[in-house]
Order: sequence, then C-alpha cells, then structure tokens
Amino acid sequence: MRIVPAVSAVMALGLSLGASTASAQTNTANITARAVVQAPINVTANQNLDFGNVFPGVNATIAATAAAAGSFSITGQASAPAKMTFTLPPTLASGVNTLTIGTWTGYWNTINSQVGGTAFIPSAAVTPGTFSATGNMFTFVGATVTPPSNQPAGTYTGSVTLTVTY
Amino acid sequence: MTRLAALASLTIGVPLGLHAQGVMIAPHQVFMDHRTRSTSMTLYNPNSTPAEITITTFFGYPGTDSTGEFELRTPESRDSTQPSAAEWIEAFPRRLTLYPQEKQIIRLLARPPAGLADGEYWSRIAVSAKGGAVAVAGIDTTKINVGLNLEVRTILPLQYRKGRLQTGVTLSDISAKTIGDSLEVRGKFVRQGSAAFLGTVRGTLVNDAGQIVARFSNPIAVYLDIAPRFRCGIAGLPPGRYVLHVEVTSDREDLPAESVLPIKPVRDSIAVVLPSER
Repeated sequence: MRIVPAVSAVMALGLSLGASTASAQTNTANITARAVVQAPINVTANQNLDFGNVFPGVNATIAATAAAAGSFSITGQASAPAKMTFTLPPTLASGVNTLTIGTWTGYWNTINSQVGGTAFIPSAAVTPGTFSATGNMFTFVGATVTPPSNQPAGTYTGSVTLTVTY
Repeated sequence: MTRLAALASLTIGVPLGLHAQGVMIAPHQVFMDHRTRSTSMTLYNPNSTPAEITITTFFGYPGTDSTGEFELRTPESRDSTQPSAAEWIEAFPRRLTLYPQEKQIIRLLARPPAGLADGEYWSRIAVSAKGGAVAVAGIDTTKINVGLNLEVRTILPLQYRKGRLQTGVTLSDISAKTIGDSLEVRGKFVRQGSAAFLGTVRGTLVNDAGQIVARFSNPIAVYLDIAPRFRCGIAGLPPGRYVLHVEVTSDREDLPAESVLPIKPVRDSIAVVLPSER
C-alpha cells in the first residue's frame, strides 16, 4: 500500500520519532508523519427524481437525459467493472393513495454528462458498467408517472435503490 | 489514478447538494486473517445530510456471463469449491446513522466453526445508505406532488484466509474482434491454487515495426474461472496485421501489498488483423 505524506479522512496513522545527530550547539529532533490512504469506493445519490406538481389525467415524464433526472455518482478503482441493479417502486404512495410510476429510463457515463454515454433500462437485471480511467461513473434515472383524472391530491413518494456490486 | 488523487476527488469533487446522500467506504476489498479473526472498515459521510446505514453479509463471488460481462454469482446450494464465510462474519455496528462529515469504524469479527480447514473463504459485505425524507419542490397540498428518493447500496468482497495459501491463473482461448473503434479482447482465465487470484490484465497491440500502438489495463479477480471481455481503443490505427500481447500479473496498486498473493506473470499472444472497414 502506498505511503503518502498527507492527512486524510480515511487513513491509518503511524508516527515515528527520531533524533538527529547532535551538534555542538543545537539539538534537533524530527518527526515523520505517515498516512496510509486506503482505496475507497463512494456511491452517492446526488439528485432525487422530483416531478414537482403534476396534473390529474396528464402523464409527466422526466427523461434520464433531462436536467431534472435523478443522478448518482460512483467513484472507485480505475477501469474496474461494476455491476448496477435497481430496485424500483411500481407505485408511489401518499397515505392510502397510490400513483402508478413506470417507463423507467437510464443513462450511464464515465463523465458527468448525459451525452456520449450508454442508455439502458433500469431494472433488477444487471446493467454492466466500467469505471473510467480516473475511477468515475455517473448514472441518471428518469421515469413517467401516469395520474388518472381522479387522482387524489397529495404528496406521492417512493424510493429508487441503486446497488453497485464491486 | 493514485489513491491520493482518488481520495481528493471524492472529498472535494462530489457535489454537496442538499439531497446528496451516500457513503464513502474504505477499503473496497476486505481481507481477514484467521490469526486475528477481525478487521475493520471505515465509513465516511461526505455529504450534507445524515445517512442511515445498514450492513449485512451474504455469499457471492464474481463470474462472467456469456457475453463476458462481470456478474455476481450467489448460488443457493454450494459445493466445496465455493467456500463461504458469510455465515460467520459479523459487523459491529450493523445499523447506524452517519451524520455529515462524520466517520465511523465498522468492526468485522469472524467466528469460524471449530476445525476450519486451511483455505480461503468468501463473503460479500452490503452497505446500504439511505437519506432522510424526500423533499418535493413546491409542495401544495391541493395538488399532486411527486418525488422519489434515491438510495444506494454497495456490495464489496471479503476474503477470509487461513493457513498458507497459494494462487495462480491460466490464460487460454484469447480472441479479439473489432467493434467500431475498439478491439474487444476475450480470454479464459482459470484459477489455480487455494485462493482467489487478484491481479491485473494488460494488453498491448504491436504493429509490424514493433511499436506499441494501443494498450489496455484492467484489474481482474478470478475466484474460479471467468471469460471476461476487455476493450482496447484502436481509433486511427491503419488496417493491417498486428500482434496482441496479453499479460496477467499479480500487481494491484489499490490493494495492500501484504494481501496480494504473488504469481509469476502469465503471457500469451495472438495475431490480429484490423480490417479497413470498421
């Protein structure tokens, strides 16, 4: 494991103390700070998928390539493969009321851009990905909600879970 | 990328948006030794909101599907070639709330069965991170407001080792085909010895003049046998004959040196013809 002269949030710290050769006039002492930086992985949900207000009888769609898409960033080992799977809610809930959500869309890229990457359909099936040469991967998720004309008012929520297997 | 640069990008480059949630985990591959039967991993919340963390273990190991893509195999029934440590590895704590900028050490303790034979035993650690309640923009209780929370789950490998272990790998059936601006390279890797092989695969494409004109480098883990595919960029290379050299070594910059089981490099080569139309 590489030793670097740095202080880090994720580290094991070892300290060594040694005295320099004594001179006639001055005694000096040195300490060496050593920090072992471990290779981490970081999976972050950066932006929820927020449809805001929708209208009864009017479908609302946020594409995976839209600015409002849900987004994840993943950082890990350069060029390593990683497997992505999704747990998706079939409906959103507001108390006892439900709202159908579906037509999921996904997009992943090795840079934080919704252009030049790979489109996929988020599901429990595996979506293979690969970290970039700098160890980055970005994933975007969109969906369509279909409120019927008699959909009760309320705040409808649910959860999308991204599982990254390293 | 060096680990220092990687860490810097993690701590500085991740957007700290209001709803960002997730957790940084180190190390990304956990090794445990039978002598100490314990180790630790560090979780860090770099975001601005608390994260509810849950840690579980289960059995699994990497393989490849028919297209060469990486897949996690989680067989329900196992044989002696699939040694599991999942049943006797415990994490402490298993549930916690990690507040913004907070770090937590997770202790991993092993309680292996008596008389455990020498060898390597495998498990996967799943770390789930969940944020707070969803915030829907412009909430109006007379309207329909819709929003989804995003949650993350990270699955990492754990290897428990007892006794003196050896590993190795054989490489065969190398093939290559052009797909657009890439050369897709495949090969069959079969593990040797008593422990999973962790290393690096490097490929170099050499022209008639002996010059390296393209290369790739990928980490690899061979628990049993795999047939992965790799991509090598060949944009701008003229059509013609080349030689593809593939080398498998045990060097892994991202893993602690004391945990890497060394092997003698394994090499093979094939002739490759790049067509004019691709």
